[in-house]
Amino acid sequence: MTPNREEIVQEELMLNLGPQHPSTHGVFRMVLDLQGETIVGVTPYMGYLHRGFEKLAERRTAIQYQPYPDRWDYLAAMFDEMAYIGAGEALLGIQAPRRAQVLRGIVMELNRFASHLLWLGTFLLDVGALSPFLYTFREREMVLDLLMELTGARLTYAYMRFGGVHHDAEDVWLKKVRAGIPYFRQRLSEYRTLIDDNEIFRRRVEHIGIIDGTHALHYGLSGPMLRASGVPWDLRWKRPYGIYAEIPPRIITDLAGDTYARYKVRVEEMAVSLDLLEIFLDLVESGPIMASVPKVVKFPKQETYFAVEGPRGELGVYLVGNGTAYAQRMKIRPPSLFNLQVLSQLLIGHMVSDAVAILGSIDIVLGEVDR
Amino acid sequence: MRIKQISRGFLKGLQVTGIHLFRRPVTHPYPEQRAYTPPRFRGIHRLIVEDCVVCRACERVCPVNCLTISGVRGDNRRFILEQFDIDYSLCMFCDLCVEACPPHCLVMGPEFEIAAENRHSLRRSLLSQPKEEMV
Ligand code: SF4
Ligand code: SF4
Repeated sequence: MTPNREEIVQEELMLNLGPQHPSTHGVFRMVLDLQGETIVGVTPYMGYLHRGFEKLAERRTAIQYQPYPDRWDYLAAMFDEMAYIGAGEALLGIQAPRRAQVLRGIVMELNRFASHLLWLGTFLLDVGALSPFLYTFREREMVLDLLMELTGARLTYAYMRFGGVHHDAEDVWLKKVRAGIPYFRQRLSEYRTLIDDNEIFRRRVEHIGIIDGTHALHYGLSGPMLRASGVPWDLRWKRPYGIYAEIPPRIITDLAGDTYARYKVRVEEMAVSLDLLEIFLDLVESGPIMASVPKVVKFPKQETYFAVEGPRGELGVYLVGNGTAYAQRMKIRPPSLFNLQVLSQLLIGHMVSDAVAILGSIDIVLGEVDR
Repeated sequence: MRIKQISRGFLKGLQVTGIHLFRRPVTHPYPEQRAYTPPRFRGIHRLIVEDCVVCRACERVCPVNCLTISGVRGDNRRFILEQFDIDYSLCMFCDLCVEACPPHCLVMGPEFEIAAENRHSLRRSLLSQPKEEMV
């Protein structure tokens, strides 16, 4: 009674992934259309974490809004702060003193390192490797402890202010950061021994989710996603802000454009972050950490766009002032959201198990996607 | 060939595991061992009641309006604090109130355990803080 192969009716299967699935990195939901094991269609649903941060900027004074950017992308809060504060400073025409600029550079690179560590752990968890997750979290905890000593909080730092930074770094803290760098380098090479040439990992991630440079640009990708497709675009040096203007460029690219290339770019960026940290630590000089800022900050009737290179890509803030302490309008350009647009392009034609790996390699943070 | 590669990866993994086997654990058993809180840690607020001039700068700057403050004028024209409540279901520990306080009498301490049985008990008065908790 077994029907022969031609008679089996092949139906499309609809598979719902998320919003509470651990491998969708937050509350992201996608509905996959499957033909057997192959993905033929993807419908993403987002907005589960929408908290209206753009609207809130119109209802809070500039000073009051300062702790809010931390909540956009809670894994790399320093960059959100820098984007908002940078946009505000551009409107107000303030420039932070040099020591504050260097401190901002240090905390941002520390934060990038922590963010990439978390990404590395969860990405490997997605492809089925459990132990690197524990190792990367151990190191991330140390970075978070450093940031907590400086700012007072582990994730929502509220560290940057219009015209400077909130707390000054003590020499002890700077020494601690410096002492940490060789340790982190060593750990990084430990991960690489473990992962880089692992046959199982390579077979899971190589040649899947490929996007070439032209397409990547058309989709508006940025950050490691774009650089893994061979486009040397890094805002830190292409449109320098703060202290980065003085640093020789170190842009990591890879030509392959697949999931493995994205892994490699991010891991090498972690090493670059550590190098930059060392450079910044040498640049620290004594001086004030706050410029003189009016007590009541009022945005002039102008508009500005300010973008920083976050761990996920170009994080921009478009800010319109109206002469009061409130913003007329604020728009965030979240890199995760733009990088996520390419998802269906990457997924179609691959297997279900690859979907998780590819989604992991995009490195989305839903707090930022949904805002 | 492939067997060789896979077993090489496996051995490398075992090697790293082996190294870790003899390292000290990095986790802390939390309730028995206190969590690490550096001096700048932003935990539950503390108020030096005598120094507060009831200027309400903290109340005005708070982005979520979670402070309720009232005071009466005392004999020497100084304000005396009657009520100083913080609603911890709203507070986001942002430090803005501490920054705004002119006499620096509002600080944030190392306590972070604010779990409560219901919403109303999250509203705490800073006036009735036990003295030994204060720095
Ligand atoms: S820490 Fe922030 S949210 Fe909490 S009371 Fe102070 S200003 Fe308000
Ligand atoms: S800002 Fe300081 S002095 Fe003024 S009411 Fe608040 S706690 Fe009291």
